[in-house]
Amino acid sequence: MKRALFLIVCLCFSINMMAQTKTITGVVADAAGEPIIGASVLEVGTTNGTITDVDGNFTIQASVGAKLDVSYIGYKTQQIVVGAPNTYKVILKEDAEMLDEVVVTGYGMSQKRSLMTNSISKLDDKVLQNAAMSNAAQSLQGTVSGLRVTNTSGKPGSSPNIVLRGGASINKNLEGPLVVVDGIVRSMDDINPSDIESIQVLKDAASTAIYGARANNGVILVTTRKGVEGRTQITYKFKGGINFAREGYKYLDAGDYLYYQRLGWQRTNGGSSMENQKGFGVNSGVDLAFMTDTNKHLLNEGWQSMTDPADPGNTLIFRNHAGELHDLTFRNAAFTQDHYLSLSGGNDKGTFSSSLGYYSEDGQIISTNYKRVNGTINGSYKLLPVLTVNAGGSFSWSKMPDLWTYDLKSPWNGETGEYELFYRTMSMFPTWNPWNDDGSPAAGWSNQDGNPYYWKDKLTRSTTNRKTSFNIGFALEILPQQLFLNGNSSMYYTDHQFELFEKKYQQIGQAPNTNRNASQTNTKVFQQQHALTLEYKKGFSGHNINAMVGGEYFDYQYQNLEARVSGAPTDDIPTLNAGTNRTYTTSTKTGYRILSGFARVNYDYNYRYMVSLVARYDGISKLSDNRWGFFPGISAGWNVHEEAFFKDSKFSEVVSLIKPRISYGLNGNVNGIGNFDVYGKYGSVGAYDGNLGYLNTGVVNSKLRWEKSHTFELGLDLGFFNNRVHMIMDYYNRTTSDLLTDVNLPEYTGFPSFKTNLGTISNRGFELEAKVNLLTRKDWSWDVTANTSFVKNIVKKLPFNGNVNNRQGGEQVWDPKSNSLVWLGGIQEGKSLGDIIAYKQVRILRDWDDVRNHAGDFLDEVANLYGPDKAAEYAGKPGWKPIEPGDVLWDDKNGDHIINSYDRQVVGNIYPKWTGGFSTTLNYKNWSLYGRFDYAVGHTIYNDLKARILGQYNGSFNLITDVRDSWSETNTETGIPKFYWADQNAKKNITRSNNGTTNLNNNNSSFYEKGDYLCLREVTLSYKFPKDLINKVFLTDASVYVTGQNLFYITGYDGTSPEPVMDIQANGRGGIDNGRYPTPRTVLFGLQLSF
Amino acid sequence: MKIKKIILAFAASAMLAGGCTSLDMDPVSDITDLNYWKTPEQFDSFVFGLHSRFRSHSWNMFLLGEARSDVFGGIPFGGEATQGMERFPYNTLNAENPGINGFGDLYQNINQMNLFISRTLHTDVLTESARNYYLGQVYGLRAYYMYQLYRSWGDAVFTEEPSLGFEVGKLAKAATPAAEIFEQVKKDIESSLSYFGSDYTIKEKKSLWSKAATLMLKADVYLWSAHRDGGEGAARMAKNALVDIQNNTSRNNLDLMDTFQGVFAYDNKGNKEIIFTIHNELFEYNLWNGNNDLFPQADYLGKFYNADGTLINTSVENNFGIMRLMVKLENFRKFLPGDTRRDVTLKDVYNKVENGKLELVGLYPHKYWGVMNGSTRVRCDDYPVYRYSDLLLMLAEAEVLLGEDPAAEINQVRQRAFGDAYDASTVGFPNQEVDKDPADAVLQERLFEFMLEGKRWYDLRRFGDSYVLDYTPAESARLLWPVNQGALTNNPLLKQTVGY
Repeated sequence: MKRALFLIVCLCFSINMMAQTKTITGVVADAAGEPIIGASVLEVGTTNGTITDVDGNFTIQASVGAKLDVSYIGYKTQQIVVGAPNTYKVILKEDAEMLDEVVVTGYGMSQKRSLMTNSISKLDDKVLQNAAMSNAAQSLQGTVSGLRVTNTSGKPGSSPNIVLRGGASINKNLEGPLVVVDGIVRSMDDINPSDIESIQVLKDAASTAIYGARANNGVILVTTRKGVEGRTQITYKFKGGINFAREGYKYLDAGDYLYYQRLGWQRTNGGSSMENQKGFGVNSGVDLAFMTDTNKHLLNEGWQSMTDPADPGNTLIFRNHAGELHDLTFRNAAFTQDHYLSLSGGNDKGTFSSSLGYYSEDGQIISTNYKRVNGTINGSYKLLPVLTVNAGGSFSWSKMPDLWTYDLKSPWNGETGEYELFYRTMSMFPTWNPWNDDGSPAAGWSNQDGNPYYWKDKLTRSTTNRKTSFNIGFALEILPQQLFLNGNSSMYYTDHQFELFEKKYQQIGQAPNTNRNASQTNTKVFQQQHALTLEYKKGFSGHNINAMVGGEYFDYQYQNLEARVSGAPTDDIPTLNAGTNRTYTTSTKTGYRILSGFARVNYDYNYRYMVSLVARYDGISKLSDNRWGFFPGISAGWNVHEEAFFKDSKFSEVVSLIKPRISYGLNGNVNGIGNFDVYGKYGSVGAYDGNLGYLNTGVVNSKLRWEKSHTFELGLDLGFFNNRVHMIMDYYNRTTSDLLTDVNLPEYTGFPSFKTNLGTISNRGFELEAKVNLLTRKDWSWDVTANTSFVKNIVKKLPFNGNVNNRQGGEQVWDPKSNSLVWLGGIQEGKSLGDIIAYKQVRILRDWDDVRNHAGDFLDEVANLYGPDKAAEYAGKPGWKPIEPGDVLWDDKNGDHIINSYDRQVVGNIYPKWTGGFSTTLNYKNWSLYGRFDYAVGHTIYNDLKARILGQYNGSFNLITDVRDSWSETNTETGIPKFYWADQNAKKNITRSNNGTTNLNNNNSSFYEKGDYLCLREVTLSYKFPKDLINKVFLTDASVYVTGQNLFYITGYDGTSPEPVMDIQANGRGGIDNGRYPTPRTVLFGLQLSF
Repeated sequence: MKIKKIILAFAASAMLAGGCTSLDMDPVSDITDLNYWKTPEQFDSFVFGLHSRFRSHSWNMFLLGEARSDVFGGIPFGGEATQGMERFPYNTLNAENPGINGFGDLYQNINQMNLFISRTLHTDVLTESARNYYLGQVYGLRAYYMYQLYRSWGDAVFTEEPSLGFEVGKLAKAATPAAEIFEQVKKDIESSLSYFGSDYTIKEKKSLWSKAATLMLKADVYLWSAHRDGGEGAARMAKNALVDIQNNTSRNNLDLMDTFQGVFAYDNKGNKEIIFTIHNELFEYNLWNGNNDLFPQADYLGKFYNADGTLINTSVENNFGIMRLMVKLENFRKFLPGDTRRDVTLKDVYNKVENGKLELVGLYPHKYWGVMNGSTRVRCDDYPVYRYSDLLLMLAEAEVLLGEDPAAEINQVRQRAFGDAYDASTVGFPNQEVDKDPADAVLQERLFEFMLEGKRWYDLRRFGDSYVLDYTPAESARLLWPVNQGALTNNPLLKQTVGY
């Protein structure tokens, strides 16, 4: 490079300049000497230009003295001055400094990172490069500070749960950020990750205020790939991989199963009716019998025998089917493939790009699958020198077969049964033969308690989604380089279809079911957005101003049609035309509109002092009296390192960047309000003898308004050693007031709850992102990035309801400190959210001495148990049982020797405190090794699956091997109570007051486990073929790689996934692991070719 | 604010681009408060809505009326987890395990009734007769609901004001003393009767409230008073109400069915025995909202035996569920030989023990036999609230209280129950053992007649607390129901039921 410059300079001075055109040739290469293909060479101030060929060569007509700009994306632009020589060699330097990262700030505006005063995180594009993702939102897990992303299910196509900065809500499901894809408000589902150019997260209120009333929970801006001027490219990418199942619990074999079950039944119920009990009774239709002379021969056919633990006089003969269903259900080695073809190009008049993608992922569970087809097209054209138009469209189609584990009695309830597969089907009794004599799969007792191979074909459910977007826009340059008018209109149409058909099936002990239920639901959403913006840019004597003002109209229309039939005569036609009974039909329509105006001014002086002002004014049809809201934001920053005094100081040798930032802003949220809630509703409550009944289903609530978040934020950007170490730190204090809060109403009002604007919650937290270049040598480089977030939520204010702390819900317990009853949990002023309250297990009572000494006069009102001293009074009373060895010794908090709800205590919190991730990239020549980890710390998970199994709540299911460590006369030092059949009917050692139902609170404390984890989310080894090799086959880029995804979790959690359970209200199952579809371990092979 | 104006100008331009200028949208799939109470059809639909919601409360009403009585208490033979339901018959309910939360959701209909009454009193949309009939129905319904609260919780919050908006912080409201609630019930009954006037029509296959239903309620309420205060006047009021129904309805429309089974037949809904019933229907609504706590599991049942020693055929006995509450075995044995009500009401299930001997181990309802949907049986029978035999037996009860002879009414019921096997000299009143005490005779007849119709606990309570203590393990201090913690939190002025 130096040599080239020297050459140019020498030539310039030694030869007289002549204003005459000549042919110049040259070659453009990168620092490594590799030729750059498609670099643009443009004579400054003219339209005279060309691009380099596959060898990096160019030819151009230029006169001596002309200036040529040589540029290529990702490289710093070089200027050469034409002198006497006719050939030039240009070396372009990579422009990889994070400082010059361009950050999109919304509504077509962008800003350089160095001038930015806000908190906006940009996803490292390596995350999207190699891994195979059925949902693009998965890329955000552990990669962006301030976002808590958790996998809700490992089922292909499932969307993860995303929450910004701990969420701003008291008693509803935490909402995710507003997702804006190329200006269109939509979800990230069904977007092809390969189409994504960048993902950014707007976090502070001063940046999100531009999205006003919907930006309370942050904004995710997704930009898709567009054509680039002067660069024609055809790229094909392929990923193929295998998904391996993540193992769950180990279950007992049939012998151990029979031992514990028969003993457990005897303990709980005495001997009666045992032989009719499913799974372990000899009359229950499983491979089990009392041994007789006539069946003895089975021992030669794979059967085994054992002494009946319930009656040593009998011998049992049985066959072990343990593990068979597990092996049938899990596809150990399911395949993923991802094909992607993109074409793009452009010249000075216009650009064009299009892409086509196909993705297919088989789940670990048989029959689960996700297929997706994507197509996009984008173009822009300069109609007039001052007018550019652009247009684009995208289409996606995806299909997911749903699991067969819905509740058969009410198959219309949507996808509720996924966990049943991991609880029920996996724990089917090992004495049952899942195959019929003829080799066909056996139905079993139900769709959840049977052979999946039978049910997956009988009960078919599938979800199909079609999403189409279209946008057209223009940019008019009113004053050159200064004033621009931009318009953009978009339409987004989604079509969701759910189909269900139940073929003829027959459960054990029942007549064949020929109802042949069929249903179809179609949901259509049509959304339009129209925006107009005026932008002004001006720089004069060090002052730079960039201002924008705009308006937007947003319209959302929803309609839904659902029909159900039954009674088709055959299995042949799954659609509704074959049904003979029209059992249910409904359709609904609804919608809302938002009208907005917004403005932004960015100002800086000499790149040193920056100020940014943002405001938005929103009106929405969902509200009536308080329809309009104003959302302003202001932020400022100071590039200290640009100051002369700093540059002169010694600090500058170490500290290369120092930029303090401050911001304040106001956001809104209105998502908690139904479209017509404020007006008071009269809705259908179902037909009565064929006559539709209406009732008042919602009271008039016209005073509702936006909930508002005020965020104050302090940030600091730091760079060390020429920015080889770069850090971004943020502290924020977000107070959300006027929270749309459901207030529980007194029963007499006739309504369970009422929405108000009466809560305040504060989230305070700290975020750190760091990027470190550890090593740069000739052939080597090593970069590390890391991010971490901490958040704490406190409820500041609640609607007054006369309770202490205006508490809603919660549990009353004894507080030994104050020697009084206090309320824990629920929602209370001054308290955080998500606390779990349970009965504390001190230990297992070892023997009778232990019982007499420590629980002698105990009265357990939860399970109706009495200690030996109380026997005289309680023995024989209906519903009462004695406390015995092997039962739990409960923590008697208030020391009254009565175990009741007052003895509960806090045993954890469902929310993680710290979340984050880190990545490392090691490059050696053409090889690259990339690893990405994420973690969450501080959350507790209620392991309901384990409790349910060890408590044998169901009665028949197989037990996990942990039961072998349960209390017995010979194993008295243990944490697991004596095994009883149906804990909820016996001693309630595990379920306590829940009676075997699934609830977060009120279980035995030892089933609440820390969920802290570290996950190796991705590791990739890639190889880029050298240019000189691939150029011969007309390739510009070629690389291959191997990736491992979700390889392991480091965690102390016992279940299949330690990730926090965040669907707080969906089933009221926040914090509860009652069986989850685990994320698979995936190994991928990838290939990328560009022409 | 200047900036706002500029912004708004842009907003307006974007709006024009969108071709629409209004943020005022009207709902399509709902009706708003502004548009309701404008047409007679809306009033009519609201009355159906009230009954539809009544129907959704029927399981809770069943539990309130029967679960704690001596009907139940058997150990469910399916071995199912009872999930706390055993606390009803054991009468071990306490503040932590109240059995029923939020007053059984009953207020969710009472409030709608309040709204209906307040709107209907001041409407000019309806004709005088339509308006009066509606008010007669809804005052009657409200009395029925309040009577449930009175019998189950004693003190209860009462307001006639419908909920039209809420002012947070001013919502707590103390309970009204039980005695006043009881007076309110009587007041609503009188309002109902006066609005009905002389209109005795019963509409919609007798699944809508009617004057006869109010009179039945009135009889029940005054019998309650009579048993407590020993007042002859109250018993007379009860008797008069019942006779009023008899006198003003034709026996063609209101009489005992010929067979006991016929009363519950799916294809004979609204039959002549019915006075008021909850309507259920295939594809519309299942009995007790589909609750299946009283029924056995299919595959389990198939391993047991009928009384004749044959294995139970689950394609015949195809009424399934997950049994958590079972009828006490001795209730099956209490029926006298020849009483057809036994096998209509209950299915007896046997286990084979040594020597092929049969042992009665399970009972489940046969009363609500449902109808086949394809290959599945669906329980969607009507759930009777008042029927003619109830009228007869309450009449007998009033006669006993008045010192009159109840034989005619009791024997009418017994005669139908025994059919051809009826022999007045052995089973006719006063020839049964139980008939020595006519009150006991009426009470037992009601057990046989109304088992699983949600009446037994209330019957015991009506006859007097000593009956409850004799027949159930309930403690005298805990005959009412506890209030769940959530309800106390939601309304800080509410107090836990005395005794809990």
